[in-house]
Amino acid sequence: MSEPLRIALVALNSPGYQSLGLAYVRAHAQEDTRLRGRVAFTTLDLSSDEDPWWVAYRVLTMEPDVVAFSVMCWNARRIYDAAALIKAARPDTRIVLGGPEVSENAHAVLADNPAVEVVVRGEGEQTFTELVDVMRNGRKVSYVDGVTARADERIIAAPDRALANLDDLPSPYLTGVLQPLQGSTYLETFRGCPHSCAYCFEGKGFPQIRSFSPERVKREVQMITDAGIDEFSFIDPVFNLNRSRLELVSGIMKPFADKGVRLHTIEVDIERIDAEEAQLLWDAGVRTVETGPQTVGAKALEICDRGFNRERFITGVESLKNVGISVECDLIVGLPGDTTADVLQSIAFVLSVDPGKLQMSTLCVLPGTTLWDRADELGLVYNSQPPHEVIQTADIDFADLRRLEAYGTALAARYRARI
Amino acid sequence: MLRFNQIVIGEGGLPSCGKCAPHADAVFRSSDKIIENIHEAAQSLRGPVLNVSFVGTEAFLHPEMPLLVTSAVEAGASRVGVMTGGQALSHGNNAAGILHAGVRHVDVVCLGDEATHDELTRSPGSFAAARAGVKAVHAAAGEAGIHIAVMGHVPVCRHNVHAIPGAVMELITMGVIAVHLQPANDLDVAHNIEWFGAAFQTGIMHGTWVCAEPADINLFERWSLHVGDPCHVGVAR
Repeated sequence: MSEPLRIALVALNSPGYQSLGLAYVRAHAQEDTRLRGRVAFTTLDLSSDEDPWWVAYRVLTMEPDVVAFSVMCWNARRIYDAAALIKAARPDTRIVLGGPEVSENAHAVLADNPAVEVVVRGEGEQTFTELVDVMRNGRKVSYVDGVTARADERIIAAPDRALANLDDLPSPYLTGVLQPLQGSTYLETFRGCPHSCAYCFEGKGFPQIRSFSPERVKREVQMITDAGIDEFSFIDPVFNLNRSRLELVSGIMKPFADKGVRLHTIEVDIERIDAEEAQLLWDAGVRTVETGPQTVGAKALEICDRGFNRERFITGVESLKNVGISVECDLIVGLPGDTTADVLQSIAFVLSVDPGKLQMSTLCVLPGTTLWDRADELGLVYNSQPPHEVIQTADIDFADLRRLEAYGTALAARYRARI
Repeated sequence: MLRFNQIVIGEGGLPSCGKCAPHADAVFRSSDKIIENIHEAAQSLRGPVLNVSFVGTEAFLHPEMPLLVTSAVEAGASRVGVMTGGQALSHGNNAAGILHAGVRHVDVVCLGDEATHDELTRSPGSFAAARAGVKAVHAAAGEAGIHIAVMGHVPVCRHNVHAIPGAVMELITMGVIAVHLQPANDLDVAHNIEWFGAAFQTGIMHGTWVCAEPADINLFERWSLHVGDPCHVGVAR
């Protein structure tokens, strides 16, 4: 019997977190009958502040045949550096990248990073499983649907892969691939997003909302709570997708919430929330939510294809506060169309509704987003290197953007310091 | 933006320039008057919540400071701030004590870099003591799991205007989240615009907000965003 193919799955996460994406990929590959007993997987969940040399050291000591990285905008530079070190030290190692940072600009990533052999585009579960099988059998990786890969001296993009039925994807939790951790465990009940915000990658490439079955969600929640976890979160882009779905998920969660399970940092569409929806969220155990408005500037909202109804927004915040749910309002500095005055008015609006927390962030022009495609036309200047922060816009120059960042950060910190 | 009602609790007792005027001992307003101001602020609330900042003198010298903080909390204040030279924060249980009472905002008065501060206050070692105090309150907040806002407050006169960029840098090193420059009435701000500009730039280079008050001081257009503190409103005295 031949030696199993050794695969290291590597993520650089926010400290204390594990990669859900890599866990999905591993769970799917491990369950595949073609790979069972023929491939040995090891997951390295490291911190995003790790030095690339230390990442390379950890990987190389495992002597893997294949290293697969999950790449986000905030960890991409370190991963590219680590990949180069791994390849230089052990040239036979095959390096695969996947994740939102590389999916939509796979060709450029391969052109810029000679150490990388394959980029998995889009959802990785099925593609990575087939890729591993192809690698194991010594066939050409560029024939695998959903990858962009080196073939001889060229870079070839294979056709896109059809999306999976979500219930066909093994659960990382139910398969034991991912051990739930208190406060940093994430579940999802659906993939896709009903919105098409120009700055956001969420839902790009997903033509429709696809849901996990309620039974599957319930089994995952049961497993997590049985493990003693009573604080976790859902990463659904819009937890209150519609009333019937919210009622369904609230109904699943209520028995657990009644026993003390709490959900935090749940993303909601706040303008749909009234007293009834707020109660459904409370019943589900939700105690903190995250929402926009990102900006209240009319021009930026139009460019970003976002709606904003001031009255409905205020009603949503008040409804949540009335039942005891704290709201985190997010604002983005550097959206095209926003002036300095728009940013200040956005901050003033958020503070006027006294949500609980204000989160300021700087626009990152992410690959695959509408802003990435329209940057030149909109006068958006951004760093071509990840995380692609905006440098200046047609309306706010470089220096004023940096001033607004410092101003907003200080104000958010002062706002947060309360009894 | 974030409205604070500044309530004057006394005069003197804070670090000040000894070359401009001899150091004055602290004089305190009566607690009854201060508590009356707190209730007035609560009744004439203009923002969504009541925020109170006790200013004018060293908070830790006021004999009834615990009563004042408690009164603000009982009046419904979400945020209570004090002004201090910083030294008292490192004494005994002061840092943990003010957090326990409800203080979340601390303005630390600083006159410049270490040498300038100690020289102008005529109090060698006072800067180091202030630094120790800020460290103590950050540690106490961390231990209690409380979010606090420690800010720098720099009174600016002709004797220290050259030192305000250094003051900003020192305060950033201490971990403040913003710095507030307050030029003296007789300071020719326009003549010293470069020093203010350098102070603003020092802050931005380190991601820390620096502003100058009062809001009607005459700075160049390019510094307009830095004029006026978005967190300060009416002063009760």
